[in-house]
Amino acid sequence: MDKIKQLIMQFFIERGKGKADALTEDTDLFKGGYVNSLFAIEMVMYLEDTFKIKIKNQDINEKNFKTIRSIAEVVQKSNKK
Amino acid sequence: MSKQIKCLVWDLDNTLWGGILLEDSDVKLKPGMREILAELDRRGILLSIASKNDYSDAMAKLRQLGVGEYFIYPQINWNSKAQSIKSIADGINISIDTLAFIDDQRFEREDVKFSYPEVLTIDALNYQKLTDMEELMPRFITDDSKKRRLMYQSDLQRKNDEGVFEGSNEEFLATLNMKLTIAPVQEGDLERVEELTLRTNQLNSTGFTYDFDELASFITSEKHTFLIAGLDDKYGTYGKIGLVLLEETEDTIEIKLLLMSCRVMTRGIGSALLIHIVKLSQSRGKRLRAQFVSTDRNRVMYITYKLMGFEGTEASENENADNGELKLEILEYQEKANREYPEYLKVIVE
Repeated sequence: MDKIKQLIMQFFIERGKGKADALTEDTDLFKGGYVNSLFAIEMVMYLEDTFKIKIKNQDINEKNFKTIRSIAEVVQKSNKK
Repeated sequence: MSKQIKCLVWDLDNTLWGGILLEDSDVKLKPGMREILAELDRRGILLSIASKNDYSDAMAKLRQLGVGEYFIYPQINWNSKAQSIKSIADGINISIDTLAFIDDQRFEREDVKFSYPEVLTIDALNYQKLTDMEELMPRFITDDSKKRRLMYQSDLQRKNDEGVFEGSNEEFLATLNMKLTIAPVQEGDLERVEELTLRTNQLNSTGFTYDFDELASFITSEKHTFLIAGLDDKYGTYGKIGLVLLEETEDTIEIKLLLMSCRVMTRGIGSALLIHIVKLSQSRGKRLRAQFVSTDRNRVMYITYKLMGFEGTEASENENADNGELKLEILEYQEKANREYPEYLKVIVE
């Protein structure tokens, strides 16, 4: 699980959002300006490629993508490709 | 109607010109070729190159022959032509089944066909018939189609600059000075509207197509709101790139169609158009729903809806629709909060 969070965190850092220093696994990504819908699309693709999973349509919503913790939960329960 | 080709990829030796450049530095365009290129360009068919040659020699020859400007993303190298075709489709961001490939050598055509059966291959013997081919004959030639090559060229420049830009995507977008104009569809837009509905697959929420008269009827219809969006930035215009069709009842606004050209993917235009629609529904005090038909290509649109606060309604939540049938889903906007346009985008509502 920690490995998953780490890889998700890395995505935010690599995307050069500049604010990654202050990022914790419970930061509200939308309020903190880390994620907008545009960025979210890339993130879904990144998660599916990195973890070789298929995220179900019904799991894609703001609540599940709100924090690194919640994203990691989605990754864990998604089926392997 | 046969499948419309967006980009025709040319071989050079013994196809575009007679002879082989490596053997004869004085090759000439085949008879009538200049006119054919000009005509396809005018129709908005993009032209590119897959040729096994030295890049600078071949480009210099094309310029010398006065046709260099017609070709975008030319692939002149020693790779397989199948590889070049794939690079072209990826580079200009169009689906590979909208490419056609013309070459005099059967071997090359077969090579492409083997890797990408969906690419239309044409024997160079038939080059004089190109302008008569249905696949290369768009139903309308709009202002946007005439400018298409220039728009793609400025797009390649943008992409180039974006590639070397240091900073986040949003910081890059902020440097573009983008201006999104949203206006009601006018009579004069209808040809472009039809073109957009036929050409757009990836960023299309339902894929519904309408005939010309139906499209015209939405302009005057009381219960429909029909909007077209244009985008400009510091590199120039993207043309008319987005379309919204809303159907209104007493208490509900339903999005029947939301689409945008794939040239504006990663510009956040889908979200901006949705925010506009959300504001509209809030100002009229109506709930907002969206029709959605999933295809294997339009997932980006689905994610856009979901992360903008749209949720599947109970009647349509069903993941097991893998039987190949297109399934209509109804999504509903669930939020009360106000959403604002992204800061990097200036939105003008006409």
